[in-house]
Amino acid sequence: MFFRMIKGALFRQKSKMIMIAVTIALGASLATAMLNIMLDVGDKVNQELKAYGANITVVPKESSVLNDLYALDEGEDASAHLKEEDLGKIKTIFWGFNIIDFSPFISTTVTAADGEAVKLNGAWFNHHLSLNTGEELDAGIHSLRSWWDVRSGQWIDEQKDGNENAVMVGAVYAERHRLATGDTITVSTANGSKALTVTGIFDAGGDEDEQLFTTVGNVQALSNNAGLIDSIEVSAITTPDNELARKAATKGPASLSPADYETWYCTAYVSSICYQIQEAIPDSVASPVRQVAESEGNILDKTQLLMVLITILSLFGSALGISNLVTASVMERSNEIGLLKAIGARDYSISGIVLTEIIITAIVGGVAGYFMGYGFAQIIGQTVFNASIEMKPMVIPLVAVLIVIVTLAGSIPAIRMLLRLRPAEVLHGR
Amino acid sequence: MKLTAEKVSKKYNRKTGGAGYFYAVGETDFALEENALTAVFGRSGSGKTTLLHMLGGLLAPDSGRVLADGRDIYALSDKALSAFRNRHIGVIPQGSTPIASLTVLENVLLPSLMAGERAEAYALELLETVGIAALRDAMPGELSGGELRRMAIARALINKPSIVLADEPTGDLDDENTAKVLSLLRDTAAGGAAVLLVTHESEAANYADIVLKMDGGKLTNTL
Repeated sequence: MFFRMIKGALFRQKSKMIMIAVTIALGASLATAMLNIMLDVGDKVNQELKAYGANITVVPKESSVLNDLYALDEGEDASAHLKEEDLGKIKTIFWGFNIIDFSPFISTTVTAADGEAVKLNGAWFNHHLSLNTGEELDAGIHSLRSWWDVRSGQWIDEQKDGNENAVMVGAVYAERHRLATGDTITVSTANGSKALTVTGIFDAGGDEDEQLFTTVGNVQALSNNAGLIDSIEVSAITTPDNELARKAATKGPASLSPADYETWYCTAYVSSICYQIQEAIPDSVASPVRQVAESEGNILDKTQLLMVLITILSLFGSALGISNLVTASVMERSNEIGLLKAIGARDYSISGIVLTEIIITAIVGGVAGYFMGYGFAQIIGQTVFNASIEMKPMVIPLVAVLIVIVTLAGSIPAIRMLLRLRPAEVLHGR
Repeated sequence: MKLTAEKVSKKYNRKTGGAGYFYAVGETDFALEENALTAVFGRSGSGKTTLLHMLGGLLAPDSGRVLADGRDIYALSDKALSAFRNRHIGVIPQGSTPIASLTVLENVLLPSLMAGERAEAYALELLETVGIAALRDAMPGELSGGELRRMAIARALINKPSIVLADEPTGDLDDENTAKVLSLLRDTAAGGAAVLLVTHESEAANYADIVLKMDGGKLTNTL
């Protein structure tokens, strides 16, 4: 009979219950969408920020010590080098999967045919690597310098034969020397000279517009540093720093307790990835490019705060809507409630009937809201990140708990009214 | 069970007209006798329904006490007072008050189910007595006002209460059904219950053992 009463109440107040279900569905859909995006946005924002280049630089230990002592710019100490052959080890670290791109750099000052000194940089462009792990990948500045505007010509394609002596020229240098794609520049050092063919002219919007970029092998030959490189730039997907990461970064991993160390090591903080790179590449110092790392953290924190606020506001709105609708429902049935009290029903059992009705409605609204939220999340994902949002299973219990809390909170005014309702007054029509 | 009221009163707020309140029931002593049908007559607003609600544990008086076999019912906990109402009091409220989602039989059975029993045979007997046995499976929405009133009477009697409080039980009924209902209440009193009938139907006096009048919140024993 209890369920007959509930079923009867649900069907008799169909329009009100549908409104309650819709209100809950809207709140649940926003909560579902926001929570899923919030949990997935870290990767998405990181991927977006990868367009701004590397977030880790690796330099030789000696060079790093000198930089620290004399406040030199990174890579100014030309005598310290890393080995190019060690580069593949970057992908073997614990968080190797999070390393999405990297490139070695080596530079030397060369003299052009007109006698002007110019900085010649060697880097990978789209270097193909076959790792011991069986993984195949293309790495290089083609994607690390994605903001370069190649005004004429194209990027150097290292995988194509005949491009060994190709060079990309900065826009300012090219303009000053009236260079065009297909032209040849002869550059020389004390170790020899090379005739390089201009493949592309780029605008980087900085110092690099005055420089030349060619393959690593050419610069190694001209600087007599066969197999050596000055530095490595790494682009990695990282987890924004928290207290633990900041402690590890400032005081060193040795300051952490064994449990904290394990947590830190097994989390993709930029500091733990740097630490693992140092472990993999001998005599190296890896350090985060702070601006990029901090931007990632700040943007992520603010984005997540925004999502949390939207979720809270939407659920608060739902609670208000539920409160009005449930109160109206109780008022509409005040005669029945008064009668139940008059014939001996206790407050808690009448509250139980009303809450059961609302919870059933909430379940219907919540399930509908979850699927609506799935749709919202995908629309937002495609619109903002141009990618689908992965639905996290943990969102389901989270949304369920939130719906129950919101529904119960929204029902509080109605239940209070129900408890205050005096049977004599409603039965007498006061 | 003997139900007595000692100096009970009830006042309601009224913004206009002097003191800011008025007494629906002035300080009143009253005893509801067992084995008797007590009829209280009075105009609308005379306070008779308020008195009935106070006696039934539905409305706490502002002063005084309501005693059931010497125990103050308003000193009981919510749980005990609910159980007292369920087991000892049969209320026939004014107007039609069905649970719309239950059938006629289920409406009548409801108080017995709350008491932990399912007195289906007695419910059918009561429906037979009030003349709506054929409508046992009907929904309240299909019943006329008079039929609903008779259903309410059957519901009030299902737990065989020792006190029956009837508020204008014949208000919507024709002469034939009025006579049936009054006879039923008369029989209930004869069966040992203390029955209070609040009405303005003068015919009810013919069925009553005790006749009282309520006027301006005061109870007198003269018509």
